[in-house]
Amino acid sequence: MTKPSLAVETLSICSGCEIAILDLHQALPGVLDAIDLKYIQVLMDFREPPKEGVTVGFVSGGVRNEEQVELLHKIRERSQILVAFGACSAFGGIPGLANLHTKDELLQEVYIDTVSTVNPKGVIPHKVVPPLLEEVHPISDFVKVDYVLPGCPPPPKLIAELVTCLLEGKEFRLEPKTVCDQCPLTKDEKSVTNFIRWGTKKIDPERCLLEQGFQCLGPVTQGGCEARCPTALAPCRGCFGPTESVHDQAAKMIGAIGSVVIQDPTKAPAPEQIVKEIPDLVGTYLRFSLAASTFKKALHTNVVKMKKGVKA
Amino acid sequence: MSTEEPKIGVFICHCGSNIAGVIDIPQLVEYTATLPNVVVAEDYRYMCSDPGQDLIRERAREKGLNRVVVAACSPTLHEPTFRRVLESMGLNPFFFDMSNIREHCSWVHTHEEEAALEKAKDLVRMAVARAAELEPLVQKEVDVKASVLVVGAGIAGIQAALDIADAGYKVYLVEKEPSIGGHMAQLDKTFPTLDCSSCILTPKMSLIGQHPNIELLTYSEVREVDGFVGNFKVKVERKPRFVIEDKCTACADCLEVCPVNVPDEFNTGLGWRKAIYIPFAQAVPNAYIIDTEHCLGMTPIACGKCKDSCEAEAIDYEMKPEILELDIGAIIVTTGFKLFNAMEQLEYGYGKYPDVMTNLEMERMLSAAGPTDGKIIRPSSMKKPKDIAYIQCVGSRNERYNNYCSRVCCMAALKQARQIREKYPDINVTIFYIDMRAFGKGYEEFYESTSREYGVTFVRGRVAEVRGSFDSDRIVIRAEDTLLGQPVEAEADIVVLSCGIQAAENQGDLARVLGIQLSADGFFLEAHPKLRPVETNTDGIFIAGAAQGPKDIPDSVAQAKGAAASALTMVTAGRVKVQPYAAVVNEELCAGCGICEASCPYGAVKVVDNVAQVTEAQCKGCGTCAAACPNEAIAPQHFTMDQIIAQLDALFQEAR
Ligand SMILES: Cc1cc2nc3c(=O)[nH]c(=O)nc-3n(C[C@H](O)[C@H](O)[C@H](O)COP(=O)(O)OP(=O)(O)OC[C@H]3O[C@@H](n4cnc5c(N)ncnc54)[C@H](O)[C@@H]3O)c2cc1C
Ligand code: SF4
Ligand code: SF4
Ligand code: SF4
Ligand code: SF4
Ligand code: SF4
Repeated sequence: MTKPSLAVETLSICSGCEIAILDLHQALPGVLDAIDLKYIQVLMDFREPPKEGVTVGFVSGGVRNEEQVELLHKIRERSQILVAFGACSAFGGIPGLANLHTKDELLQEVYIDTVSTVNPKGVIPHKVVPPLLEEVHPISDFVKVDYVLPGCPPPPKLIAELVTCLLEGKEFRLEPKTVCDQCPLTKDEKSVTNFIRWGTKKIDPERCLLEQGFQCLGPVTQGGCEARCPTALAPCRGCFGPTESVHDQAAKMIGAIGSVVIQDPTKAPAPEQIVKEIPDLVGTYLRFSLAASTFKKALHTNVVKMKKGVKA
Repeated sequence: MSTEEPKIGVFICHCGSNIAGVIDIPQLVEYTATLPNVVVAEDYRYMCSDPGQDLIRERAREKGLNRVVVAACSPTLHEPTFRRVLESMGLNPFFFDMSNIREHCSWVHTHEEEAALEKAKDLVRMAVARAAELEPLVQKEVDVKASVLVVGAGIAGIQAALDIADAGYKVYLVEKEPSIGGHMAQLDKTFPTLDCSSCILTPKMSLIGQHPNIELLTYSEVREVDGFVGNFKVKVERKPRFVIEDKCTACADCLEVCPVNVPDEFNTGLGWRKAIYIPFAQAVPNAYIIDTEHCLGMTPIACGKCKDSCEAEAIDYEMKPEILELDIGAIIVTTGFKLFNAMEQLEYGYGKYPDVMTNLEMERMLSAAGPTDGKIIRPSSMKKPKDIAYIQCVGSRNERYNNYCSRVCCMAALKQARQIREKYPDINVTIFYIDMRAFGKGYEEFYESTSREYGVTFVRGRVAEVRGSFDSDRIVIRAEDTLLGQPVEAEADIVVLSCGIQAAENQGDLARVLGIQLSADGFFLEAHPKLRPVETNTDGIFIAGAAQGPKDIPDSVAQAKGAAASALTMVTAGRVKVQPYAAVVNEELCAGCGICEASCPYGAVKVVDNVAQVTEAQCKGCGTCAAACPNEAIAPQHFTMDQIIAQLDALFQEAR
């Protein structure tokens, strides 16, 4: 019997997801025994997935340029099962925050405006390099995805679980609960009077971080990671993205924030005050999922106008 | 969803001309008939009338309706009426939806008939869409504990407690001060009959003290309320008075030895009391209390004189606060009011000129048992005044303070003016007013005779400024006489500020503990201003007296009796129906994050073992939790997500 095979395609990424596969540690030899790892760019010198015989294709990274669109279609066509592997592939990830700017703004910034750039002719490369898309996309914008394994990067334990399921022909599914479900911190009374940035106040190691006024995205983030960040007393940043019912992490988080603020109107902070205490709303609430959120990108015309207004 | 095909009957009400005068009813009916699942679309002049109700029954029988929509007024008014109609024909009463085309449409679009028709179509279409998604629900009943908690023992609380206790039920009466009586105990005479206030109050107070069904908890406060209608669990803190109530004989021996003098609150600071004291002679319970803030220290080293002097051995320096846990069926809140703080209205010089005083201070001065034995004197010189001026609406009817009219201060000023003139015909009294409000039974007559027979002068105009005279020790008042249309300046020896009535101290905290709401003016909010004036939106909690809004004694007593009757209805029935709206939790989705718990205004949901749990009888089905839950794991049963989505879909679908 031939072993099932695995191909890992790499799009717009930092390689952390691939490292997470290697991070399977002792489980790795077993996995490599059971499957035939046919293609993974961090280890092998191939430029595209094998033409046939791929059982499972993992895609890490979101889609930023035209070449990636092509590669994505190739791996989709050549694999029986396609997995969106990691936050970038599933929701655009951190690179998706670039959607706050237009393509032209990004090129201008990188190739011309940055102080360290020496580009006297002001050339923006356009030959040889693949052209950028207008915005970053999750892979599901282009192809059908069979499974999603979110995370930045996905935890090795879930990778092993996914691989096992696939080998045994079982369905892989994360419980549709949010991170709080697995969080070991004690949830008591939520009556926050002000929100604080992580690292600016001593943390009570027993108590729910959100209740302490930290921006923990646990309540609006797909669980399954064993709440690894809050367990280490770092607020959840939301790398598992929204659950199916959360849809949009920012919208739900704003709702949640409204609820955890103390009810007593005489002690509650003014809404403007709360907004001030959350300095980078998009970067905080949609750190990993802007490209897959309700608005997907900034309404560019407004951003451009605002910027011009500031300069003028 | 129930499997039955929805057959919806829509009944459109004219409400006389309230709706039909604006909305083209025949067109609305015609449109409604085209909506999905609608098998009957009809109109009638008054749907809520008997023939209107019969029409629903008839059509339901003929056409086999299984859902009913009435497009009429607000559901707060007639939803119960129509639910009963459904019940009477054996249909589940929750297969009903009401579309409010009166308050939400005809009344607010009187001059836009076409737009109103379109909006009415939208509203009806939405109700029909929701009706198709409705689920049958079953009303539950819960037992009601046979005891009532009354919070606040002014005249309102006293009356409510007596009515309930007389009906044979247990009452816990909680009062935060050392004695019951409230503001009425401080009044001298009461308008409009001029009965002596303590003569009518004291007998009631002593009844409270002796009633076998009343457990009086003075110097106590409600700290926690858990549970729900019929089954409240209440924690009351009894603060230590350091004098054992049952042992104290009120002999006053301790007064002789206590070395500390403190301004006396009961006499609005016009007199003095000791650090161990009784608030006033008729206080109930008739026992002393130690004011620890001013006591030198309850040890032999610091002082300890009172304990030595007490033959009854009633003094216990070791007394500790005590928490009582009570099982309660219904709660009545009668925490009364607080007088407007005259210091806030700087231009009237209160606190700056000793001869500027409040109406309540004058009330004490007029009292034969008061600090001056009923004599009127100028605090600055202890001499008899020649001219007294009243300034009305202090802190009331004023955008800077309270917009509302405090209702009692006009009458209180008339009453005091008359008393002054009766006692001292040689003292002139002038009342500066915006307009005199004498609204109650016999009040206008009282006003008339005060001005005619008692020679009180009235000047219409808001006072701009009160200041000390430059050439005498008198006070100068500057105002505009709006009847003559010219500025006036008058001098007086005493200026009385008719301070208004404000919500009691910490009313907001109490509202939170009880899970009831405040209206914008800070008083407790009633469930309906006309039809449910003593109920709150929380089942089993009632309000009465000045805690609900400015009120005089007759109105306070009337409300107290109303609240007592409402509570008794519940307690005597022994069982109460609970609306089956309660939110339900989808345990597959709930992560126990507690966002819902933080958002629920009624304290009805709590996370237990990492899953949210709803206390059905406490939940109002308001849906706040559903909006707050990030994972859509909780929703009230009569406003499910499916129903709301159906309504929204219907709204945004192009009107045909
Ligand atoms: C100067 C003046 C003159 C007046 N003259 C007249 C008159 O002649 N005739 C007339 O009809 N009306 C008169 N009134 C109005 C009258 O005082 C009120 O109508 C009446 O006192 C209202 O009674 P109540 O029981 O609602 O409130 P209150 O008398 O204010 O009693 C409330 C009680 O609740 C207690 N309480 C407050 N908060 C708490 C808490 N959290 N826990 C426990 N206990 C609490 C208070 O200590 C108090 O004992 C006058 C008012 C003023 C200011
Ligand atoms: S710390 Fe974060 S993840 Fe943990 S319970 Fe609180 S909000 Fe949820
Ligand atoms: S706690 Fe949040 S940020 Fe951390 S791994 Fe889990 S989902 Fe990602
Ligand atoms: S009762 Fe008279 S004095 Fe008091 S606020 Fe109303 S109008 Fe003014
Ligand atoms: S907010 Fe939702 S997920 Fe969180 S505890 Fe409540 S029901 Fe559960
Ligand atoms: S619906 Fe939700 S928020 Fe409203 S009372 Fe019930 S549990 Fe509380």
